[in-house]
Amino acid sequence: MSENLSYTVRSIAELEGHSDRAWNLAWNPKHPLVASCSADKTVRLYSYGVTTASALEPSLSFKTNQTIHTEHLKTVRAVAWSPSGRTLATASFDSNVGIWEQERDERDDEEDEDGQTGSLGSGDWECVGTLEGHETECKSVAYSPTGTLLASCSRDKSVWIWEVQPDAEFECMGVLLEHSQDVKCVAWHPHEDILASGSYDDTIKLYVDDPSDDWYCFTTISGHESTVWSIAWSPCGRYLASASDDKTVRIWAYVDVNPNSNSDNNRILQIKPPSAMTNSHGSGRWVQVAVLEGGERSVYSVAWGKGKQSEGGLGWLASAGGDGAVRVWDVQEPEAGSVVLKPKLVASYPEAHGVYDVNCVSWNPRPGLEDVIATAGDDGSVKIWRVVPSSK
Amino acid sequence: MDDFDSLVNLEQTFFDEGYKDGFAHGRIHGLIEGRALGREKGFEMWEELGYYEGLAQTWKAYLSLQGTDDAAGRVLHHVNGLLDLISQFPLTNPSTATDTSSNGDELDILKLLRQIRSKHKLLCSSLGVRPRVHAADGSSASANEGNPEQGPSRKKKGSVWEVNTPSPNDDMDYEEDGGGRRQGGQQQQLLSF
Repeated sequence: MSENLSYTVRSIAELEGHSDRAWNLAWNPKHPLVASCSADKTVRLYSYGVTTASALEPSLSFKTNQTIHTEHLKTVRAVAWSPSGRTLATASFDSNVGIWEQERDERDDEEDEDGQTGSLGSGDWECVGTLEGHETECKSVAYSPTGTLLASCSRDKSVWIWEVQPDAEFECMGVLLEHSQDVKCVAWHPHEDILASGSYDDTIKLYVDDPSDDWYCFTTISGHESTVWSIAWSPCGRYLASASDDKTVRIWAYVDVNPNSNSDNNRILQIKPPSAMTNSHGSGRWVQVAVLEGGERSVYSVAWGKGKQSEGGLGWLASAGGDGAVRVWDVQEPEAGSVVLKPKLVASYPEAHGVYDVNCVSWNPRPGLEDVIATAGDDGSVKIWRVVPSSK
Repeated sequence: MDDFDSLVNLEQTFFDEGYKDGFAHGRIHGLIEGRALGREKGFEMWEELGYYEGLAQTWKAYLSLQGTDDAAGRVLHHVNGLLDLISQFPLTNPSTATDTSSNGDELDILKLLRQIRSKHKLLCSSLGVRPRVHAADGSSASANEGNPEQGPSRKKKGSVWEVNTPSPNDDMDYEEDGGGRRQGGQQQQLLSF
């Protein structure tokens, strides 16, 4: 593979500790913490600190914070932080979703005005709730960007939507049985209350809340030739990327079908709930706007971050999969009048976890650290990388 | 020349005759079999729906006795939603598409069934009850109490009624508690479309 890529993926840290494969990881959106979950039924938290060794490149140092020995009886398959950064949700193969919060002692309350506490305190994480309802293994869990909704999906082909109420109470808002097979992943749109799910049945479905308080599937996106393992919305909210067992990463957009729109108009429409969508631009439909070769094997995870490009753009798309390599694409706006995206591969790191599969890849969401990426692999370790411009 | 037609096309004639005969005979058998299959499937569908309806109505009656507070209001909304969906389900064979349909669009039975199942699961979750569906194999359904996973604990802690029948292939003794429930757990929904 040619090494003339404009960026390099540089290893920053290797966090070991899990005794079995690490399935998933999540960066805390407000605090310098990253959580990883594993088949060994635990969730490990690592905290990091930013030290400005040089003005250009603040370096990060990681250390193990805690291990949460969850009460799950089986593998913990996914973790997700709430947008406030205070609650952690875990999805497990024992078909339950666990909700975890840190024990608060009085000292924490004092530091509350300043949201910049270095760490969340050192209390133990305790289980404040268990969401039961799925019949078989839970595969993924995700908080909506407002933090009011939590979605979970499972091998029993259903997607459950829960409303987060004060005091860690959850109320089930909807059970969606639209997929014909195992649902592998769920992801919320960054601005609207729209949920996307990917499944073993090769489709992606989008759901929205009907005013009469019923969630329903308003569109199905087909095109992948095999299981959709992972989905990620673009930060601008107009594109959806998906990673599949068919070794590709595809990007989808909602496009105006009106051929008379003048070329200045971006034909790619803002994604809005269907009730609002029909008002503008007539009707649109979902089309595939890019296909990326994700490697020689299945792509298990895709993540879309803001990235640190000097000019604008739609962000950086990272993928990881069975061939062990981590790839990063730079996505730019399409040319005027066209809807086709041409993401450019800017960085690649083969064998990120040695011979092991990489199960998850995720961008750091906190400001200033948009070039930091983490991966979790079958070797049980979590590795932290930084995407830096290649030295010329 | 016409006289020779019947002679020349003799084999074809016999073939046509035989075909017509067989077709008519097959049609009779087909109708019988189709009717039987339809009856069986219809029975299965409504057995499941009847279970949901009974569950919903019982809980509705119970909740109206309980009085109204926020949580009960929400649950009641779900119960009514479920009953409403079930009422949309046809009790008679819907006429084929050639007739003018009374509703605006065609009735999508499978979709309706899915919606009903989702609603039932949702309802069970908000009630704190574990959903149980038993298909037509003789064992009876029992409304078991799962662990209410959230807030307002239901005042009713004991189960409504528990009817445990030992399954024919098990030598399990008539146990009050764990046995029946565990055995019920293994029976997944046998209905699938």
